[in-house]
Amino acid sequence: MINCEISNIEFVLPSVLLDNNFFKANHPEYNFNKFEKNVGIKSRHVCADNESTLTLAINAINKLINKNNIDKNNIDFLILCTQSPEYMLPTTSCIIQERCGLPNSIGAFDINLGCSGYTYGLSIAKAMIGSGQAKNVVLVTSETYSKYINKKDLINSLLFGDAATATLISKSEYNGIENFIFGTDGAGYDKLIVKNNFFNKATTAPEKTYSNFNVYTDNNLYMDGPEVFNFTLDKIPTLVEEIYKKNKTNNEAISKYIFHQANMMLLEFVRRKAKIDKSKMFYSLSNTGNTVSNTIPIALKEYSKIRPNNDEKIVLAGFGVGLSWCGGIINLKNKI
Amino acid sequence: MNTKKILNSIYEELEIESVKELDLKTVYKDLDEWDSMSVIILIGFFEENFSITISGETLNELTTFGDLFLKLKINDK
Repeated sequence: MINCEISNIEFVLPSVLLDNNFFKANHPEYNFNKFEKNVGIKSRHVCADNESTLTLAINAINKLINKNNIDKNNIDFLILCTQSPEYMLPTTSCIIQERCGLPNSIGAFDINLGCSGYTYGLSIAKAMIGSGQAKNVVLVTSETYSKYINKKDLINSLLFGDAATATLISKSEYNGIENFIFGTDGAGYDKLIVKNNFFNKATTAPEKTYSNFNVYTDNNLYMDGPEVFNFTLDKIPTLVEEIYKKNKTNNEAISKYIFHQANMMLLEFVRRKAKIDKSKMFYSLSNTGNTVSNTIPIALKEYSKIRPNNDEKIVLAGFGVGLSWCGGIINLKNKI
Repeated sequence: MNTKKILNSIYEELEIESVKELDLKTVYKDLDEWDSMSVIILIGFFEENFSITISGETLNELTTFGDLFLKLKINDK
């Protein structure tokens, strides 16, 4: 089997920064201190009208290429993970190929996954390199959920942010990406959903409410928070055990756990149930919020800035919309 | 853990200030502090301490802590 590793990661955030104070004026009755303390999010970036999944993705790739002196001609595959594509068709990654000046010889496709998308993408990149079909894969995550969220939906507006990331995964002597585990439960498809699509988008969809602060129509994002929470607490501690088993390792050999940054409270419950030491759990959502498939690469990049310069074994786990989950182990030896 | 102790723990977890204490007759949805975050905290509390999974729907259908404990088969015996 040919090995591969994560060589570099870069991320970009859109131009509009919204801190919690921005929402206070319209919702003086909401306890923002409690939100910050429990959920751990103080601000998030969202797209301006002229920003989109495509523009963010292009900026992330250009940053990856320019900051790390990458020769575009050496890139032979592009994978974009998004649930907010630029068009129904064509595939957004095809447009990115042209706009970023990548060679016509690359393969490019989109994957439609949310919070499990980055770990899925890493596994696909590993498979492509491992089977000799590619040497340098760029995995892009770009998500603009803010465009789906009803302006009156306080809770989801507070939780989610927009972002894009670009990761270069390269053929290597070093085994940087180990084995991954996957899971799917389509019975929960409607727990996190934008019901209407390009074909049946209603111009006058009726407004609905749930809890005190969630307002949406079927054209907007709907999230059943309690059920997504229960799903995560049920599946992710078990996933962690399966990851150890699949990779013939245990928690003592793991130096860090970087999970999808949904919210602090959820991560803490998962951490305790999975018996993970607090010092090994990495959090990075205070200034970006839940950026869907972007949270893991953003957290990895942030962790890389402060991590020690030695070999580290890190557990990654993504989970959410689908319902879908995927996790595995990566090894790092350098800054990324 | 008896019901009194459980209610005291919930009082702390939910950071209740609007009433002096909780009892089995307290209508949790009427508490000033009750919001979508409280639902998640309560679900997490029962999962972590009793390995009991409650759905958001169940919390929505019931009204008092007494109803909830009855449904979850938590009592002082």
